[in-house]
Amino acid sequence: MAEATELAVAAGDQDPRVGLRAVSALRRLLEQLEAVQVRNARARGWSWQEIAAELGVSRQAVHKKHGGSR
Amino acid sequence: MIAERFTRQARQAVREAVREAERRDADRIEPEDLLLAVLDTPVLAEFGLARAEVEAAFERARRKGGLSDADTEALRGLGIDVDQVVDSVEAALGEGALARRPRRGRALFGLPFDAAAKQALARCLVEAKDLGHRTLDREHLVLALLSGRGLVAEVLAGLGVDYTEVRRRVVAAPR
Repeated sequence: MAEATELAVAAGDQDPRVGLRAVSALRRLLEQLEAVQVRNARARGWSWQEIAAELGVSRQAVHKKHGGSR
Repeated sequence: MIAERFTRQARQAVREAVREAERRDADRIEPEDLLLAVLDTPVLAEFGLARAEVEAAFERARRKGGLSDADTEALRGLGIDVDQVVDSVEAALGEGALARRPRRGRALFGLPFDAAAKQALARCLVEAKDLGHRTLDREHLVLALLSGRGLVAEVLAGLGVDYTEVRRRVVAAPR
């Protein structure tokens, strides 16, 4: 019984849909987390330069992506 | 112009969607707002969906940064507990931190439709055409919303409503 369940789970994991779905969800979660953290850093007075350095991207990139409304 | 082919009721529904977005203090109109605006459309009302239940499902997803229950399940498969992520972020940055940012001040020209909502409005035309209907009514909007792969289709599928079944009923309904 337990073995059958394990097999079912393993088979399910090979389904590209499951894997791709997880990747898509993870990407959206990541985007949302980034937006929240950048907003918080800005609210605490961090410069775009400092935020960019932590994120490992260029200052222009982070400003272009998150700087729209301020 | 597509807008001229919308029936009075369909236009009213779109205006209602704007009010839905305003009520939740959003910065844009999303497909979820459109869905709530057409929940009373006969073809959808037949399913007897509870508005509160639908709203709660959307709210739950918003709190998780827009992730549906199926997304949450998929991430659990990777070993990521989204609820725990949300709890951590909210503990540090306040309740609803992962939900989209509320709008600041009043929009000058009214709230914009987000990309997915625009796509749904455009999709109405395709749905009407496929059915051989000459006007764009609320049921076309319902079909347009269900044909997408987003949160609306997913939440409704969870409540037993899917595109195929709704379309079957639209075809069968006298017009």
